Amino acid sequence: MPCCPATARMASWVVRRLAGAVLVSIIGIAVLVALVHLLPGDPLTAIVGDRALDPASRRVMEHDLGIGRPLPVVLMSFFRDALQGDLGHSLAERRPVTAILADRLGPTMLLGGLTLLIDFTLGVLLGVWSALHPRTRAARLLDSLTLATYTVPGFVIGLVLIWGFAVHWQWFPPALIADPLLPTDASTWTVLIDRLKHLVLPVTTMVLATIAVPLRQQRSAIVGTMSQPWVTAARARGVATRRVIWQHLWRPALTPVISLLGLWLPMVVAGAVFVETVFAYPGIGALLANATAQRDIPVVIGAGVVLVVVVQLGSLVADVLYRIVDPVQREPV
Amino acid sequence: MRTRHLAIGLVTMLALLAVIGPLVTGDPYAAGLDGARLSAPSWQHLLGTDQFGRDVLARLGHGARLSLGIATIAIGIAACLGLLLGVVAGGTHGPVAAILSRGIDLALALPRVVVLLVLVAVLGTLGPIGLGLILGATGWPTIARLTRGEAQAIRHAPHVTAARALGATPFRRLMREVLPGTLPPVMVAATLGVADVLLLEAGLSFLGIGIRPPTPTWGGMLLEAQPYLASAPWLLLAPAVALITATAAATIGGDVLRSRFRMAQE
Amino acid sequence: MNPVRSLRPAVVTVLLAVPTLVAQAPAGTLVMGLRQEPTAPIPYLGPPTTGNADVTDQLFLRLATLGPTARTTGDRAMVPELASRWSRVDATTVDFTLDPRAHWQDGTPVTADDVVFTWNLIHSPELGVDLTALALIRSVTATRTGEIRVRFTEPSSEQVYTAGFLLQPLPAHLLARMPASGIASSDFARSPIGNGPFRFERRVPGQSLELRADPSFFLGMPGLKRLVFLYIPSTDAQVNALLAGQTDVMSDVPATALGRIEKQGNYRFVTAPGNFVTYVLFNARSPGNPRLAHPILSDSLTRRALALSVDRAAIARQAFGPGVQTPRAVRSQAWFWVGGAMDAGRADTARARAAFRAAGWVDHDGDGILDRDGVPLRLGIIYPVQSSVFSAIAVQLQQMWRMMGVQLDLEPIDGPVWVERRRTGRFDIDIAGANQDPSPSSLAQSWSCTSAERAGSSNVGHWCDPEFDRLRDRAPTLPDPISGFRAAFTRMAAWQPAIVAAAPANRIAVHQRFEHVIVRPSKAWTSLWQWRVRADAMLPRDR
Repeated sequence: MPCCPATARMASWVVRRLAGAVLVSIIGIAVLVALVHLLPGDPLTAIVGDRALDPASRRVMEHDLGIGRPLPVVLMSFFRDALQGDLGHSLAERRPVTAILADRLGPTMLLGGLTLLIDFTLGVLLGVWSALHPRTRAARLLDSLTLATYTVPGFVIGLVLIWGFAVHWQWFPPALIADPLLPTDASTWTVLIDRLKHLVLPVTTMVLATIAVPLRQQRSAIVGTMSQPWVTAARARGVATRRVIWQHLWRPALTPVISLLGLWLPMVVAGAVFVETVFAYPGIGALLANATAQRDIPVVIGAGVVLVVVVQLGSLVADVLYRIVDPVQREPV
Repeated sequence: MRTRHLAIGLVTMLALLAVIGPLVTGDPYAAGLDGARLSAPSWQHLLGTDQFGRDVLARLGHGARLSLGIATIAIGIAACLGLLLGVVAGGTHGPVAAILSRGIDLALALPRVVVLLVLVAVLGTLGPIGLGLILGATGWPTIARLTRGEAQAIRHAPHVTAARALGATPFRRLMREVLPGTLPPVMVAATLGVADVLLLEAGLSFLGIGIRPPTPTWGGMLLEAQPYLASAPWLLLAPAVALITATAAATIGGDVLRSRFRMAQE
Repeated sequence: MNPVRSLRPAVVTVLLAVPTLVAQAPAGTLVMGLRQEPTAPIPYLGPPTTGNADVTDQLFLRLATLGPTARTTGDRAMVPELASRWSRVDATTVDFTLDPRAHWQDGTPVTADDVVFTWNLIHSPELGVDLTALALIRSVTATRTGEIRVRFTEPSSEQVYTAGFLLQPLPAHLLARMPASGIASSDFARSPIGNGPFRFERRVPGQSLELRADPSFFLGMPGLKRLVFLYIPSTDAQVNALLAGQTDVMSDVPATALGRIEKQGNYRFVTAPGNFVTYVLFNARSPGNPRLAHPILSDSLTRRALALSVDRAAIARQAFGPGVQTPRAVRSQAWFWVGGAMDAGRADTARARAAFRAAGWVDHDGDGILDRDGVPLRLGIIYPVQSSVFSAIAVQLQQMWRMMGVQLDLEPIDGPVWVERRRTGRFDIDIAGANQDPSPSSLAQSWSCTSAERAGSSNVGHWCDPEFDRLRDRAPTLPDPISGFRAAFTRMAAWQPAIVAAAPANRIAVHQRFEHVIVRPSKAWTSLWQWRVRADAMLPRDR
């Protein structure tokens, strides 16, 4: 029994929205498969590189791998297999794509999740702070610094951090996500410390390279809302500034940040290629880039599917958050 | 107002670099003799020379026109498309909005590298304008998504509801009441996007679909400087500072535009 | 007429003495970064990347391996590995006798059946193995006494090399029941069982691969306890991992990183002749129509003029730093044993200009570009854009040729597209690199009339010079094969199907704590099992 009509409405909306997301995911995956089908270049590069291959071998291998089939056939067989949880085998590795994705998803989620967390707590807080303290020296400094770290390519930040903290001081390792020399019977505590040590530099790099966006969006939103007549009115009524912020500014100013949150998920999943390259970090972004460069088609599609799903998820989460944050949207239109 | 002067100053500087730079900074392709490779900044080469002995200042000057041109085209297209689609998707109600919204999600989800590789395979070799166009054509979903979220929130704001009560047509409401409200986040995204586009353009040349060497672009200079970061940091410093200046000019310019816009609105 | 001669080489005694030095238990860990992920370190079955090959060589031995000079000619040049000796039955037949101690890591002895099985397996089209180098082998059979009898189609001084080194046996008892196409995704491929000094321990996909010393290795006790390979694709990241102490060795150290590594002091450099050569390939045929000759590049005088215009020494130094060579023929440093005069690689613009004029190229219309019969001397060059070395070569070629009135259009393209363009011959000029096989005979793969006519061969420029073919093929049959190869190289230099840009040395940084460091020409890591860690310099990870 629903507790109240609003919740029921919300639930039905979420269901409809979810159905839409599933539909879009399916279309998105189909478009993706079609695009990958159109990719130019030798499809056997992942297996044979630029080594010579006599035409008979080429024909046999292409047939075995299902290369050169017409698009409708490719689509049909892809969805038939995908429904059974089979995304094919990597050409370069001959392992199931699902297994490869499973290997990469964890590190990506860790790097992306931490970046997301820091960007949207620290970044948003700094954004609020700098909106409330405009024209101070500290705010200007923060502004210039974040703008600079945002503009400079991420690999530069990564390399500078590596030179300082990995090569010179040797506090943190410069590459990979785990010490391969760690004994297999190491205590959970040792393993945890090891993982964290490997995460510090990549996460710092990611945060430095991205934090300007949530910071600026939040500040711009607060500044914009502050000039609204009803805020001025509240202040004129003598409501304390702190209360004005919490009661009036916070919620409307969150909208762009929520939109951003939806966008951020795919960004941290696929957009971290540079960090993954500099730190030899085995994530989805590097996987997708590498598989694209090798034409390891099943892996390209597999990583793309992850991306499609993550984007839908991000968008869905954002839309739900809009509704929660902005009470007006819940009113019947 | 100080920020405005700063913005005008920066923009003028960049424009000068792009217009006059190529005329006064010398030949960006001329290779020096063996000894002049990777030489540090000096009076002869104000910003030093690169790994082929080419003058970095000359390359920076020549690169300005291309890089800033491509960025302007790409950002312009991405912002316009994104704004338009986002406002309709978020500011209206009905099947069109729903389809557009999902379409934006769809476009966001496709890996840009794959899309670009296929586009270029279909379209063939691209000039700088073509490059700006396809960068813009693949860059709009982010801005559209931001705009949609903002438009959805504004749709129910008191002044929009009031406009409806006053009998404004839906189109007029969208353009006059919803669109202006969505501008601030789009402004921030678009101005920060300058740096993204310049780097993306360089990244594209790593896929073999960007501006062809030896034509200099700022992003290309940045990426080419990577192996020399330790031995010849000026190679990277020059385009990085140029890039930061461009982004700063864009963001400050955006702030100025926005405050003028707000004043005009009130 | 042909008495069975035992050809056990004298070198063997020297090398067999080595294991007695390392009789103590294996100790220490060596960590190496690999640029390509070792996805399937098994001969013939995994993708042919250097990442797979470097690990494969630790797991799987050959019948015979290269001696210290890496010479491939002469039955005595090769060193026993799985085979303890070989004997010649006649001019086209060699019998290999397996070392009775040789065994797979599951305890099964290595037998002649393994070799015969492997020989048959690599002919499966599903595997796509390039068999050109093995073309002289007529058959591989097991004799009744358990020897491996290899029959060749014609006499050659490289027979022991061809059969002994190029065939890397796989375990028949584990693979014979599998279909050829299924082996690459089998359990064996995930956890291979070899016969070498190290056994497979584990692989963490996308990150690392670990091997452990096999104390029962029949050629002696490995000096190192374990080898760990880290997958670090970026060269910069490799340098950083080395400087931070995460890895112990790095091969092909880029010139840009030399100073930093030297200054840090924990590493010393060991240089071996590299087997890599990078060259600028002309297309003999018209782009996109292999039946027609190339309108410009099929003319040898024009090719000569183009080559003379290029300061190859400058290009080579810029790309690879010190220790690089600029031979005239397409030969890496690994063939140093062939000898012959080296070339300084300097441009000779005066002779180049004369050659252009003689070929009819004059700037008639005064636009700065040479032309002939109204056609400008304008060419396109393709290369994989991901390679910074190739990009640098292209940019410099463009500069150098521009000064001579040649217009070169750069076409950096995505790797797989480059492979396809090469394969279909749609290019004027191409920049390519090759990791060459230990024998100069392997030039037949990319530079012979046979390969020019065979579709899908690596002779993508469709080059054919019967005289070069004759000299190259004859060399191993001569009493003095070395001067035979030298004559073939001289012919190739004059023929000029390509401009060799650089043949770099393999510069390897090795952590100071390793001793008994042996780095091989051609196959750098085949003696890794003899390396040791100084007992007084052990790091925590060595214990």
